[in-house]
Amino acid sequence: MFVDSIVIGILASLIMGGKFKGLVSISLKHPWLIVVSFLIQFSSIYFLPSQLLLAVIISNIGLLIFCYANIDVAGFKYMLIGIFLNLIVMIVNGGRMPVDVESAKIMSPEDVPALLAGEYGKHVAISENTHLNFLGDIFFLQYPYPRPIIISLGDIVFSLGVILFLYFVMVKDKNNSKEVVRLGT
Amino acid sequence: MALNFKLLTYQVLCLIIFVSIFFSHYETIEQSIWITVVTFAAAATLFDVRPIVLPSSDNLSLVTPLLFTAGLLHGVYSIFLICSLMVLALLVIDPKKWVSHAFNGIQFSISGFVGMYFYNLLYDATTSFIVNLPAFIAFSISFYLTNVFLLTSYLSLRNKKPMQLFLKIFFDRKAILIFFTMMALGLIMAVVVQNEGMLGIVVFCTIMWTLGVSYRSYYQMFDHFRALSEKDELTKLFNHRYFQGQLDHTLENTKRSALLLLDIDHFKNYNDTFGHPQGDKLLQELAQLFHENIPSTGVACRYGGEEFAIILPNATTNEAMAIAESIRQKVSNHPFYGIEHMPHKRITISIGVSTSPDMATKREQLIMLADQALYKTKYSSRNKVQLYSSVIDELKGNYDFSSKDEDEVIQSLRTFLMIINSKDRYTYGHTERIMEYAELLAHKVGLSPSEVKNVRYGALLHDIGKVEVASEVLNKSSALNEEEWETIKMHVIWGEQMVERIKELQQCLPMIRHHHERFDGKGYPDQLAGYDIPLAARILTIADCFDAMTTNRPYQNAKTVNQALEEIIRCSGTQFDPDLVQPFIEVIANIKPEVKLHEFSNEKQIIG
Repeated sequence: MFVDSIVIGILASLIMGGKFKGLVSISLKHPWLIVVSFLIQFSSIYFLPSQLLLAVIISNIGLLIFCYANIDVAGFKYMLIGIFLNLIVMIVNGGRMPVDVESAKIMSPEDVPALLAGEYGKHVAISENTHLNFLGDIFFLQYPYPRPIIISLGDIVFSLGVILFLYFVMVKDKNNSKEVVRLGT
Repeated sequence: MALNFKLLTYQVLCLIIFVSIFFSHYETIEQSIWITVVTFAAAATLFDVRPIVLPSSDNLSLVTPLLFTAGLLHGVYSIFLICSLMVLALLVIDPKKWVSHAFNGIQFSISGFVGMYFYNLLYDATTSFIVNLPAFIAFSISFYLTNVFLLTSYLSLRNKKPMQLFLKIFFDRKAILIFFTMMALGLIMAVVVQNEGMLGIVVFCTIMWTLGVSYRSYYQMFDHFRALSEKDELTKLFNHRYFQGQLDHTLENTKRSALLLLDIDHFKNYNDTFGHPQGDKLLQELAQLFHENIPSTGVACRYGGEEFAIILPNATTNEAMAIAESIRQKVSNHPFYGIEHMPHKRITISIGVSTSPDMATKREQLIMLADQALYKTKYSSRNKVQLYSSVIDELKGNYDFSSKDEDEVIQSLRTFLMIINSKDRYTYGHTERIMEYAELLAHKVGLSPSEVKNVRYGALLHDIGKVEVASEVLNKSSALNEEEWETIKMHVIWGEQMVERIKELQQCLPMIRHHHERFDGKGYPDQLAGYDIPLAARILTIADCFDAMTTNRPYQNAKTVNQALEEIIRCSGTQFDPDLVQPFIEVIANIKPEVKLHEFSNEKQIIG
């Protein structure tokens, strides 16, 4: 989903007259937080599944701090909210994200047994035992969307933030000087 | 800021209604409905943040049709959910306006609840959405009424203004038309969503969104051209054309208003010294100053080259004077470029002020009065705020004009004086100055207070007959022919006839008729000589000629005061009453410091 939003953001910005040059000059505070967060999360999924809840909390808090540090940059407000929404639902479900089974069946039927057994990465099937399901992966994007994908409300808000951020660095920044002073209304 | 308790009570009341309906309709949300609700809320937020702008600057918001569709397909509860989500999203986007966002969400929900109640009363489940026209109309009307009621109460409590004011806006024919068109769109959207599901919403919103984008660019274009047509390019203030329209508009729609005309002193010198590009910069800086120092309701315009006009709706005379004075001070204290080369090392402006309705109610009159006030300061001191003051009003205060008929004549005299002033710019202030000279001289030679008063107003009216003389003749710089001379000579008779009808001013008539008589009997119209000429007329003659000599005219340059006095001494006994010459010189010496009295007393001995 993260990749999707970057692609959409860049494409939309290009259509609106953005320049790649803007991407080069991105400067954000504490970028190492991203790297560390992802390392923690992936290593936990593959090497230490028993500590998944802790790893999810730590890595997401790292991302939250990163977003908060850059809150003045366009889009980061939404990324912060998106991560927060995802974090809540994952915390109440023991570090796993609830997934809509019907959608999962359509998307990748071969993974459904693993999902139902609770062994599929950081996901878990939606059931009566999962909580805050409405924040889980329930939005099933399929054709005409280029690649089928199940996302959560948090993902949507987060992606919106990413797209806005890209739009800002690629399009908005160079237009700032165009403001015209208007007098007398 | 003091708390507005009524408003607070109202908001809490609405919140309680909202919460109680919300919980009375509470139901577990199925996943599929939740997805729809989120999508609708996202679309509603989008259209709330960026409504479709029509060229008439009306906003089309798709929120209502979206709510209608949701209510139709998923019941009242979904409307409440969508509104709540929309408010949450708007709070994130623009937290400062949280009160109005929250209220908006609440009032949308309550209106939707009322609308759906009436919809369900008339709904016939056996037919399609579109065939259910009565139910649709019932929804629209009840939704609109609730919406308007909640909003007007809110606005009137917040702004502490009567509700009728806002009701008028909402029950405007155009607003209602737009609303019902939007509702029809909601009906279509319901059909689309019912058959196509989520994709229907996406397609529908995309179409509306692109429409909105193109409308907005039309609006920007429209706005741009409108700005071009009503803004002055250099100063970014409004231009002369907009000023005229706006002044009319203000006079029509407000009970009182004030007009300021501002003129830069010695701007020609500035241009000559620093060049026109620098002069343009000065104009821009001044425009910025004016813009910053008037209230938000005020309108600043560039009237002409170096003249500006400011309209102040709802301003009393005192407020207008205070604003004008603050602008004048700001300008004279502002460190403009190159002020060290200007007189008194500063840039100054003169301001003429007129107010409506006490001075004038018509646009042209109001401008003319402010202009006259402006010229009064221009010809005297500059760097001053001058409120227009009418000598006619003063005249009315000093006499007792009992009959209505007389009042009418006074009104027409006022108009005639205005016409004379506008006919001949060079004589501006001429009347006021003569009134001053004549009054002082009358006082000097020991006339009684009532006689002095008559002299003063005789001086005011002495040239009123000139209103009948064509301006070409009045302002002719070459020699006049026989016929033209005869016309000019007639003005004393015409003036006498005009004032004749006012009983109170009978004492002034001889002054008007005889102020062109000469002491040696060669004047007009009756060739009176010596002491046959009434004393008041003799006083007026000397004051009139002195002022004529010391004022610039198209055909002659002004004499200095001393030259003029020498000329009066020379004509003593031929044109002027010799007994009045010495008192007059003393009067002038009193008010003009450059006159040295002893220089003239010598000459008087020679003559004597």
